[in-house]
Amino acid sequence: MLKFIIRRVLLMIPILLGVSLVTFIIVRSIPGDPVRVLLGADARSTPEQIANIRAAYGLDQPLPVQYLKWLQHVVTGDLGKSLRTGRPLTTELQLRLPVTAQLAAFAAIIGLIPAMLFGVLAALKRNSRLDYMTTLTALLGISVPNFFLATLLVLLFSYKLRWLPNVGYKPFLEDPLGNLQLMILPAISLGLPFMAIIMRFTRSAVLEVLGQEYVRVARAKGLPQARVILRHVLPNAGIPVLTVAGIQVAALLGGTVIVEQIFALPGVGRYIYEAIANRDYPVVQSVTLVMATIFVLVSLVVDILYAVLDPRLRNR
Amino acid sequence: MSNVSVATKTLAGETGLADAVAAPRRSGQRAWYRALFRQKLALTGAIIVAVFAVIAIFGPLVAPHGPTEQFSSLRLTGPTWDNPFGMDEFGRDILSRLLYGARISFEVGVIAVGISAVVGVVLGLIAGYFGGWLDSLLSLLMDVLFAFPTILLAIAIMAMLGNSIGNVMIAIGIVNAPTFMRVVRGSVLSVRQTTYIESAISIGASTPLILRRHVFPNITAPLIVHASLNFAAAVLAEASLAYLGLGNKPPSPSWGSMVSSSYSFLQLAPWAAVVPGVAIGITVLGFNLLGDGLRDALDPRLRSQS
Repeated sequence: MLKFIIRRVLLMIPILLGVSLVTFIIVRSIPGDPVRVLLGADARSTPEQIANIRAAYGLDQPLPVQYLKWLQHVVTGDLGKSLRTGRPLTTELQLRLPVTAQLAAFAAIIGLIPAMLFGVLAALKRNSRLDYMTTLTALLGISVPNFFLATLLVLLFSYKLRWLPNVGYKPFLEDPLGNLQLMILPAISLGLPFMAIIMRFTRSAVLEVLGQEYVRVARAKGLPQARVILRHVLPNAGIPVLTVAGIQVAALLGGTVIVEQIFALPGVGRYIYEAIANRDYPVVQSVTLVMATIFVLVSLVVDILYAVLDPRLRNR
Repeated sequence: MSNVSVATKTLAGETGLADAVAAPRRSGQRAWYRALFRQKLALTGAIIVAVFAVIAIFGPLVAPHGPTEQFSSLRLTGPTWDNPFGMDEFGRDILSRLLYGARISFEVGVIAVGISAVVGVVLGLIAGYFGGWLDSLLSLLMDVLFAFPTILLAIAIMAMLGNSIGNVMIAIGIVNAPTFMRVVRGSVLSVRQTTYIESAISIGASTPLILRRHVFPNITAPLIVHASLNFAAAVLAEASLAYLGLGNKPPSPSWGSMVSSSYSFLQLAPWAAVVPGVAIGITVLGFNLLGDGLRDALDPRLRSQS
């Protein structure tokens, strides 16, 4: 088991290196001079001043050197500073990551619980009305963009019913109720498409397991229905569902870019979107890397859980 | 006596389930309904896609007004006989904008899926057929691209290439290419094991010929299914980028930017945001339904589970 985990952790390294390289290349290919952006449009700076700033941020060095320096800093936990505000990214992320983490976790809970419940029920009551409803709901869920879902929710709950605010953010620790009121609509907009995907997948995973020989054996030896489902069907169906849920975390993180923009939440998604617009190189580079790392770590956890749940995979 | 009744009860309670899963005889009728339901969904999808394609091609010809033509006295007026979907904040006819916008979604969808398919098929064929270090390298590249949230990668590529509609197609094409590669690679791996490939190799057929004549035709079924589902993803991605103001900036009648520019007037004129949003939803749904239907038709292994 330990060997499996170590090998899996080592496998992450080339992926993360690749992610950092791709990010670096994309960010440095964005046209426009960051120093000009930094100085503002009407700055009357001498070429000398510009060169000084360039040197101060290390932008005058060859690209491979810049890449390696950045990597060296990132590995030691220094993500760099924003070109625009001069604030260290680690401080900025300490403020913003909790917002995005709460949003994504909230969305995941809103998505996972109904998805697993109805996915399993639909498979057990195959071809029932509930099954048809589940199929249709899932199809709608994967087809409606999250920004339109957000628009409809705001229209209904903020404008028509006037139950919930449509914009703003309050930290949970200062005002728990206010925080939840502000977070619920963004979380639903982000969570429903997630729910739809997991629901579809849970249904087919459970159906697949129900068709297996070992389920027939369990029934044949007279196990009660509930026990067959709980002991044999759900654990086996859970493994692929877990994998898909893990992969979908990337979609959840990506969705925060749009949803945080709509609801003006001060999270990482909005930060990175603004940073791209402002050509704030260090921010785009490091935050993209952080987001991709979170995803890679989630897949690591999923793989380890996988091995815990399914002993056959440990020795592969 | 009581034992018997318990046994009967248990049996009766479980037959419905057991039948639905294993024995096709008694649940035949319900399974048949299901098949009909699936076929109806697939047909609905095909109709939606066909209507969408016709609107995309001919819509601008029949649109009552230009997409940016403004009638300032009619700003934010609701649906009427002349303007069935109402007017937006600049007094532009939403129906006309919708018809022009369909063409944008369609073009982006076709070209983005085309780019993803070409890149994904070529890399997938190479990785799946040759294996070895080439496969490891390409698979690593695929894993790296999968680690980025799609929309974030698309935004970053757009920033790199510049803000234009052509670059939207390229960006979406690149971010979706790994999914094609994964589908193709997986299919090639299983085709490669077959006897007909072995015999083609043994009679001395060249590798390009084998790839073209024997491997590719046998992976078209999953490819077609994936292309349809991916079209849905491309339309969604285009709408999301346009919503964020990338590629299709106002006054472009892209459906995504129609939703975002009307958002500030949501209370006054909900139709201005709802109509294009519903159009996106229906179009994406159509391609998803069609893709599911094609999978049912082309991949018999999955039929039992759907």
